[in-house]
Amino acid sequence: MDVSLTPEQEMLRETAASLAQRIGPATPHDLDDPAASEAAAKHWSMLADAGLLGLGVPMAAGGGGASAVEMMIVAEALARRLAVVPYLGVALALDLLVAAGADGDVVASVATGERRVTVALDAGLRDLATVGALDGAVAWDGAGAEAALVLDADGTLVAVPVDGDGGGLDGADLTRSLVRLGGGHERATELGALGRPLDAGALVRWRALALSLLAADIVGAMDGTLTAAVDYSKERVQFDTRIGAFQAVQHLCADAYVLLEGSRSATWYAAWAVDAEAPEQALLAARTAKAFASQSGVTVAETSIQVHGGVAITWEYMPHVFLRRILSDRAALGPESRQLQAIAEHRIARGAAA
Amino acid sequence: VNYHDSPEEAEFRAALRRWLAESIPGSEPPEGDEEARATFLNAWHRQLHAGGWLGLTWPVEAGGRGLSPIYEGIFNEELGAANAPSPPGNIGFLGKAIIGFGSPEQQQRYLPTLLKGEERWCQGFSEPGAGSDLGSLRTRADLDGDHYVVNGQKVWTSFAKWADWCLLLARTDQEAPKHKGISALVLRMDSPGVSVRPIHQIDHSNDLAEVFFDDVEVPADQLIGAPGQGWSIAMRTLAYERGPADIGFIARARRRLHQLETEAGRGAFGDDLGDTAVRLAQCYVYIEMLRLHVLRSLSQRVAQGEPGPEGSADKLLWTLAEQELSRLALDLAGVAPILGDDLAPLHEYFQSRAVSIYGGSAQIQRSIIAQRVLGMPRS
Repeated sequence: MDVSLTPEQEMLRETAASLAQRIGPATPHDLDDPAASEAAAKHWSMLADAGLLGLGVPMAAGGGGASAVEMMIVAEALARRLAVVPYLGVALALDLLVAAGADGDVVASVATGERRVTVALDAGLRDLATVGALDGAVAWDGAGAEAALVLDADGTLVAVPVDGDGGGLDGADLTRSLVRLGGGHERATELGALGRPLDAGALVRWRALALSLLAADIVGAMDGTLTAAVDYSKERVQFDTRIGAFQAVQHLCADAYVLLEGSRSATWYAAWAVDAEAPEQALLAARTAKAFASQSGVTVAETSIQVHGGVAITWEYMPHVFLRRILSDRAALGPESRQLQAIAEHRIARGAAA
Repeated sequence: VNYHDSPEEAEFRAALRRWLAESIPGSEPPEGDEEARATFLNAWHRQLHAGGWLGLTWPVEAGGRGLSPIYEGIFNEELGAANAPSPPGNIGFLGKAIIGFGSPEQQQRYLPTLLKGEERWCQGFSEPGAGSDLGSLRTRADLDGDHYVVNGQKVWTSFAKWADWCLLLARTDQEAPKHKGISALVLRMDSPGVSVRPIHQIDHSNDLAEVFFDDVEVPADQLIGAPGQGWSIAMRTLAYERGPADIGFIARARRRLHQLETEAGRGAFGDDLGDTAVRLAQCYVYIEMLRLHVLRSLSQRVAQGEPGPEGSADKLLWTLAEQELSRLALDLAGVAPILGDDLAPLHEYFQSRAVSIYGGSAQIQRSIIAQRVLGMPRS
């Protein structure tokens, strides 16, 4: 047992972190800059060139052959700087395509960033959308995506076109695109052969991956906003004192740190379990991480707003952008209340195996 | 990141599991019967030692097994999974102080009997005027030829009534700055001039005590480390006391949660669990998160050698888990504790309130994190 990053994982973290530092917004204004969409395209190719998109795709299929732990590392590093790139959407779509044994050319073109695909969640953002219930379904984290993957009745993947030009939803999160799938789009796009039907085990495993990466995204955002709050507390002076010297402020930040590290510990295991444990076990670990990170993330983001004081509720500072991201991560595939309900069903109905 | 056991770890786990299956003793005496509990737990301590399961991370010369900190995590997981009684709480952190600072002769003298459970120990740190501000302690030890003369008072001393030895912090230099004038001594509890007054606690237990020292003579060779090194020794001890794997909480918590979940499954809390199911799941999340956090901390300890200030996060997460679990257990007991039909959940809940006080209060832990981990300025 060794619960620490290997030298290779440490290097990957540094690569992703330095990329994120270059492309992440410095203030909320960077997000509505007219040149933002141009920049986004450039950022996307930087991510692709660094080989981060197809990290989890098997080497035989032209990917990085990495495990979910490496994907978690990238997700966390990008979220820490709120990089506006649809990494999670593509990573989750690629995982489905690989699991279904989709056409190699399709996988390769998505893994290299040439084509963009994401996943669609149902209208309540609770799970992968199905063809039978496309009404209100949302292409999730699908900036620039031509299609979103949904499930057919028998578990076959179907690519539904995404009308990106119609504009995304004007939702809470300023750093992630959500596009409602229009009516009359039941017909698949010409993406290519999307493989065989996914069985229940494969879908359970996918949910475990998705929840783990969402938890990692929350952990990254928590880390980013707590770091900003601590830095700010070391500069801001009131009563002739840097506010970071006040015990009330110190204890707020310390509590946030504790929640952050607890979330990170749960998330590392969840990501590892995706490839190392049976799907049901991995899903339990992922729900645990998502539940704790969701409740902790909101608290930490609120703490950061409190420490920043008045400036935090203006468009000049980033704390609200972090909180928005965390709220949107928290909702995806169900907030903590839903995860806890599922954990209870798993633990109690089965007679509570330790 | 790899949670799989190495071949050696897997072998250790399997052997421990086999041993536990054959060795777990019968029913534990109830809370409140302190004498019977002390005897029962001491017997379990000796049994664990005879099996070779104590002092896992201690050096082989000290009677330990010289294993990496990861094994403490495995030990806790398996004890919890097997519903075994709690492992002895204080040998780990007291032992680490003597291993870290004691001379070879002292290690030889004190460690084997501590580990075996043949001699019992207590920890004389806090005083009426020195709780969170431990550095202000006033108990003094004055060198007089070949011995020290100890005068003063300690408080909150766990198991003082049953202890053979005390690891004592006392001021040996009245002139030095407050943290620098403190030394650590080991003292026999049956020395003339030592008196123990048990403290009647919130749950009627009395395993804590006040200890008074009146001209107690302690041979000078019972000084641990150098004169003035007491503060470092205390900090080392407390760093280990803060780790939930070291004090066995995780094993206990998993066991308690398992009981509550089983009762819930049997319908003991009604057919419609409603909110209770979610609260049980919340406790599962806290305890599992804590377990995973501790595994990560133990891996960090493998790399760093000793627990650092980050360990204060472990203590706060442990506090969160234990206090939430105990409050839930109290609520699930309904009116039974109120009517006096079943006081155990009430007492368990009361005890959980002490977790955020002992071993450095939650506020002290937060200040350590803020100043020493986050680098926030001292006021």
